[in-house]
Amino acid sequence: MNVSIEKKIAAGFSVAVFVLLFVAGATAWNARRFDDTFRRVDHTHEVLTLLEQTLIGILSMQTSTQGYVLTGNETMLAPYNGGIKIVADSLQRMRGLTEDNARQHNRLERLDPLVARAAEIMQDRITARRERGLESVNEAETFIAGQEVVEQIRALILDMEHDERKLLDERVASTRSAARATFEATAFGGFCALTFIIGSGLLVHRDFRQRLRAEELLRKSQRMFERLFDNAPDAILQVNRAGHIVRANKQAEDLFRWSSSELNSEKIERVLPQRLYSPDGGHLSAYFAEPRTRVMGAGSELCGRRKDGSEFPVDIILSPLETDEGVQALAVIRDISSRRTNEEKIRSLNMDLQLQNARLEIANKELESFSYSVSHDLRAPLRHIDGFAGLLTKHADAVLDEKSRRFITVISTSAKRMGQLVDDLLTFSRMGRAQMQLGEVDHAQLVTSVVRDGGYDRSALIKWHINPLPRVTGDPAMLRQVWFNLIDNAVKYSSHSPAPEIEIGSRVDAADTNEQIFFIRDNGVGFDMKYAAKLFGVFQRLHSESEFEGTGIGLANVRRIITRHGGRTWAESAVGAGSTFYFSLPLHNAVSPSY
Amino acid sequence: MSSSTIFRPILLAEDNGNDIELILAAFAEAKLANEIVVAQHGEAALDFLYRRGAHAGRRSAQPALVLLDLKMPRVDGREVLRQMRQDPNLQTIPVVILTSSKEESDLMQTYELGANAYVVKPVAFDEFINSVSKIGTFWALLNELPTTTIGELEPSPDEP
Repeated sequence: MNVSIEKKIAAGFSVAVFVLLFVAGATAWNARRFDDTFRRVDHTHEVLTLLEQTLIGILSMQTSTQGYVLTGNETMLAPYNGGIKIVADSLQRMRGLTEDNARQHNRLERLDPLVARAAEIMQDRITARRERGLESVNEAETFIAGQEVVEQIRALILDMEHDERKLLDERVASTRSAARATFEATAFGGFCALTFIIGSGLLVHRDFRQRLRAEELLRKSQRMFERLFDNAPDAILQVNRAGHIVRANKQAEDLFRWSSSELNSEKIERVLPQRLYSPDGGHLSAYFAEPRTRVMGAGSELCGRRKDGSEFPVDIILSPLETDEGVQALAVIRDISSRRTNEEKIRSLNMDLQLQNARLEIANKELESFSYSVSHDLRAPLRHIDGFAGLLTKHADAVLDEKSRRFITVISTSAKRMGQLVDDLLTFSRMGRAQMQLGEVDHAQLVTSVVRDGGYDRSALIKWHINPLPRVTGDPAMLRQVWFNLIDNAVKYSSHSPAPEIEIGSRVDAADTNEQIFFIRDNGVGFDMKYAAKLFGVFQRLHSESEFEGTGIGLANVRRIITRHGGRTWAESAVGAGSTFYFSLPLHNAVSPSY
Repeated sequence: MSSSTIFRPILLAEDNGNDIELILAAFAEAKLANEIVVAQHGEAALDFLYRRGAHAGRRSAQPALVLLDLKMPRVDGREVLRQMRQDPNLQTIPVVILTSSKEESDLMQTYELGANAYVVKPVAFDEFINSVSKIGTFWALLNELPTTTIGELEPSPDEP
């Protein structure tokens, strides 16, 4: 249940007030009852006293009468006269007091005639003594009659007394209970009221502390906002619905070169020119129609205006801000001049790059046309040299001596060799320029087909060890060229061995699992490792043409192709101990562009 | 031996005199009976084919084979090939490109234009003689052509 602290406190106090009212009511009621009972007790006491007086009055009348009868002394009658007065007075008063008590009242009604009778008898005796003297003393019947009446009175009064005492007891008990009830009600009420007041007090205390905490948090949050506002790297303007600047931070002052006091209550258009907004008040009122954080003027160029009227490009982010004056907007403004400048720089760099690219492309075109002319124009004269040397041999064979024939052979051989060099150079150039056609290359199949197609397996002498080879992404035609060159080399350079052995295999280096390494090992002539660096260069040869024929382009081709695949090439060897050639291919293929 | 092609000329479009001499030597070696007509540039080749200019009023049959060099002055081999393949009267005449260029782009382009074969002139003399004589023997002697290709305007008087 989620009841607000205010409601809890109000409820607590209401209950306390209610209980207190109830207690007050109960106490008042009890007090009244108490007072009433008390009066009744008084009343009873009075009745008892009056009964006593009546009885005493009667008895003193009887005694007085008796005394007079015996002595004839008139002074003896003084108590008698007083008694009459007392009894009459007492009876009179009792009548008033017992009006509400029918029983006593009835008894009183019966008492009256008895008292009258007793008084009559006594008066008769007094009269008789006065008239007849001492002889009346012996008139026993009147005396006895008088005695009887007095006895009846006494009995009646005693009865009445008894009743009154009983009444008194009851009333005293009732008074006590009323007093107790009053005390209990007061105590209970007091306790309840105290409890509720303490409870409410605790709640109020707690609420108060929470309020203090909340206020502290609010103050902190306020301070944080202030700090953020003041120390933000960007200029911030707080703008009300009417478009007036309510507040500006230091950065805004610096950015627009206005002082904060100047900015305050200025229209926002002074610093963010009117044309930002459409003619009808535009963006800003539209913004307040649906205030949420948004980047203004997306796609358009926004401008800020300094005090001196100069303008600069800005980015603006508007966010709604709840204030006492309703929703306002926080405009975060960033000077993007430097970004623009950077963009300009990037654009210009890009232009340069494009220009350079174009130049490279031109260079590439030139290279291509050079290759083309090498291919076409350089080969023609070579063909003619060899062709006409051939024609000369045919034509003048009969007149040529041995020496001349050898000269012609040298001419012919040299032309052919140069033709081969030109062809190799063209192939090498093509390998660098040709578009790569990437696919999954089955190296096992590639090696097998190169060995078979090259007729290398027909040499019974060579012992082949071809280990299982993986599939790796690459250009199948180019990689075929790689394997051809490596296998051809291995066969060539082990051809002088008595028992040539060639092993082909692959592995993944534990240090770099991103590349697949292939190798081909022969037990041929090998080479001195100090020339290893020259090995993959164009037309670099470590053996003479007479030892092993070749133009020295094969390994250069291998390196160029593998490099284009993003791989590496290297070799290990020792003179006379065979060589191992390695190349690697990246497993997560990143193929370099053509060059 | 095909009677339809044996007496047709072979048109050699080649600007280089040395190459012409070597090719002619090769044909001589092959002992081909066909007349060899040499055009030293593309325009001369087209003149021959269209019987205009120097060849206006030519009465001989259309060639059994055109041996076309790619790089020639004025009109190059590609243009000659393109025009031939666009002309219904010339499009079935076999064209063999005989060139120094090994460029893949040249190969692609000429095959796309409709060349029948592409032969790179070998540098080595023996190979050269061998290649050219084989081309002549195959296209001039073995290859059959539809009669429309022959395109005789008027039969040659010395033809049987």
